[in-house]
Amino acid sequence: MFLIAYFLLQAGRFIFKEGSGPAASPRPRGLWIVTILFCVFAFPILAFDENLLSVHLQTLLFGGFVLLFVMAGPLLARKIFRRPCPVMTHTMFFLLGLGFVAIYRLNPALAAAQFIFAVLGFGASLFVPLIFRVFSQFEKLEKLFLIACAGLIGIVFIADILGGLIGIPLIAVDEFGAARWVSIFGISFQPSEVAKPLFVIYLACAFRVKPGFMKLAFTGAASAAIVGILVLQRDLGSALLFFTVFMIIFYTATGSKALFAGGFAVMAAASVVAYQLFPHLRIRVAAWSNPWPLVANEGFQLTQSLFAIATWGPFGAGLGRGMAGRIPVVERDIIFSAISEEFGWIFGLLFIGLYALILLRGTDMARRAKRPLYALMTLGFTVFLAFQAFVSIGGNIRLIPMTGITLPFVSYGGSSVFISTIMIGVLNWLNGQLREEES
Amino acid sequence: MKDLRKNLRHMFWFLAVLFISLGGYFVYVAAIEGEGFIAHPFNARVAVGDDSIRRGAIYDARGVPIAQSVYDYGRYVRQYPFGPVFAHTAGYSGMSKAGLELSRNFTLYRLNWELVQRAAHVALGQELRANSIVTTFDAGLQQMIFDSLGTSRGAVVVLDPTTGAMLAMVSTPSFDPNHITENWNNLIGDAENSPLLNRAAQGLYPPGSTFKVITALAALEYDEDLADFVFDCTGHAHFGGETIQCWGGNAHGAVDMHGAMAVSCNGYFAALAEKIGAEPIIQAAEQMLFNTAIPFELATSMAQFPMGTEPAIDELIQTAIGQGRTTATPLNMALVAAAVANGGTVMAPYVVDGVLSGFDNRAGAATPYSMAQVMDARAAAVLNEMLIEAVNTGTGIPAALPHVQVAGKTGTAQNATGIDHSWFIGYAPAENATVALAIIIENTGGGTRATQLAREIFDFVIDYD
Repeated sequence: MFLIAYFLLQAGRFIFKEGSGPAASPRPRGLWIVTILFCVFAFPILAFDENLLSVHLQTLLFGGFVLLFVMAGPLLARKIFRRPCPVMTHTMFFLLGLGFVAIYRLNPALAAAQFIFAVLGFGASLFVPLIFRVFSQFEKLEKLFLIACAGLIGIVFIADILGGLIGIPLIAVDEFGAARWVSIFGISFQPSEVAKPLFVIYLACAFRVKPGFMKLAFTGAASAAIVGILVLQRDLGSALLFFTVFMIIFYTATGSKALFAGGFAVMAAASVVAYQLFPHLRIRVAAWSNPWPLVANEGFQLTQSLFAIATWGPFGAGLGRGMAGRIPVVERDIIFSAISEEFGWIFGLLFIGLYALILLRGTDMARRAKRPLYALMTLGFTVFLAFQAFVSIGGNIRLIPMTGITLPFVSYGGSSVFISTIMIGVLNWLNGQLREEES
Repeated sequence: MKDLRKNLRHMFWFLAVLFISLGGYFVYVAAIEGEGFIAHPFNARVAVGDDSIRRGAIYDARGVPIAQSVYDYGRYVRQYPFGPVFAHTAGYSGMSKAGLELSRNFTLYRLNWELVQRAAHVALGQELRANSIVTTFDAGLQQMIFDSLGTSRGAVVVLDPTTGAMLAMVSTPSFDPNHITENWNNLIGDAENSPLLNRAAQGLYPPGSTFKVITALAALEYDEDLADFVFDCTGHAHFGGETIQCWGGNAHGAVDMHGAMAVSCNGYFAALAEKIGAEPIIQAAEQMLFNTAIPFELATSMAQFPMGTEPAIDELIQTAIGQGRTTATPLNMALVAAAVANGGTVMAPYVVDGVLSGFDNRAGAATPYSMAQVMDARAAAVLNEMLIEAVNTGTGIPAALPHVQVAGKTGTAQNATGIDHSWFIGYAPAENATVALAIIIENTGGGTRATQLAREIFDFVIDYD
């Protein structure tokens, strides 16, 4: 009963939250309280043991840390950034809080790691204004961003060869055959994540004035090379993401419908080739097109995800009562289904709405920009976050094949949460710049 | 900059459409498509129960409870008032689940107006009552059939051919779902009787002479005039190296298709098959839902028709009289009878008629739909005449009733156990059938038991003054 009341409260708050949309005057207090209330309700539920009628103190302690973070974070952001965007900030904190609850409920140790990365990412994002003040003419460094971005993406290749030479494996290959991680001295990170902001800034710089043919060809080729390397690393989700971000920034800058359509046609052709080349891709597609005959093997993850979504109806099983723990790599790949299972599909729909809110708010910010550079940067970061959510959730519900990509802010993944919070940091800085332009 | 804003708007709508389809598809999967797959055996959530909720009941068409939960010393206990009679259809809900208890598990477990019920539960101490379901079964008929089968192994499927509503579905030997947990090891260990198997929908038997309906259909579709094809039966007939015997070695003399159907002349249908070849028979069998998964609430086996397009002559003639490698479920043969009875249209069989939630009752909510047109109405009319003749003058006489015209076909299936099974498929009243059925009784050594049981069933179901 407590859970049900809690659902209702959440749903109501959510609607309120949606209603305060982009154009409305910012009401940070209300959004702030939603996140706090969510944590205040959720962690005691997790901590309470129905069978022993006891309370797990460690959970409450973790909840306390999370509460402190979501309470202090937005206040700190307001102090550091000049006129940050309240919608972006609070949506991020709500999603982070939801992610901590969901991951903690599945695997407490991972949640602690996730929390540390989120705090570090948020901490780092506070330096964003400082960095941009130091490099106030950053658009002149266009090529540098490209080199850094391509270098990071290529590092997996280089590390692979190096590792071969010195006899230490430096590459971590995940269970689906995608080489995504580089580990150096025991610290592993995902270069494709770090490359994301660099890629956006590079594209925004490159397209800040309407490009000539040579420029266009060069930028296109460079981006195609980056996407190509990602495909070769078999990180197809990231490849799709980079490709889409490129296409959207490109179209916004040039308005060329023919090339936009052509780009997708090329991608479709490339997908067919990739389908022929990579057996793991064929398995993914087979598991997507009809998972039921493969229910025990290749289709297991997806069918279990569908069971989680559909079994409990609109109000869910209740926090702590779902069975999503059985799904392989649920904390990273299937977190959306795990949340929908326990909170119900109405909540899940509103949860999708949060990412739509980021999209709405981000494009609205871009629309207000006076300089194309800022408009394109804003759009690029927004698309990275929103489209990534689309790919991740779409994979969970069988709208598109599963790619193993993270759900921004919510999925477990150190690099992902670190970079995603920094992206919001950049968006907050951009909001300050836009307001300054306006006044 | 103006262009840029316009382009930006395009991209926003591009992404917005993606998000709208994401949300729409999500709700579709979670709320609509999900109903179809959540009872899958790989969904571990099926085993989860909530002791504070009274699980919904399963009723027959008149509201007689087939399964219900009663409050007993502080907890709910699942009861099956009919014991073994509905064990294969209503199923059981214990350590594991089967039957409707499995396929409708989440319906029986869900609370309608959940928030209101939970609020009333906390505030007023009202009981949490999950949804109940109403089936199409006639509990009296089901009990009568079960008693009549007695200790025999067999299965009976009775349905309304005009809607597909299942009136009875019996499989023996059965088991008592009230004591499934205690008896589990004995039940799964009993390989000879396989009491857990729902023979009505999952048992695969050689169709025997009931298959002649399909051979006749093949011939009529090949050439309508073949109804007048005449064969002189001497009791034995030779095809290639194979000799076909009529039952008991009886010589039927010169018979046309009507006569051959009535007396179930093996030689006639073998000659017919030799004349038309394999392909029309394959086509007719596949029209009649062999090698096809029948959409049904409960688990089914697929009727097997493995004969290829160029069979050896002995396989061809054996297949034509329902032996060979062909196997069918009683459900499938009941649909054959229903197809003839309903002018060639097979209505999809169903057992759940509606959901009772206590707030908004939707009994009778099932919408019957046509699953397949398996033959044209002319062929159905000719076959109807033949099956009437079989009951009036031929092997089906024991099924005949004084006031109602019964139509049907008997069968005797030779099988690996050595002792023949006896079949009957049929329907009544022949001119406007409301009941169609298939009956198989194992190891009776031929005989008329199945045919007699058909008469009892028609007599029980059909009201006439």
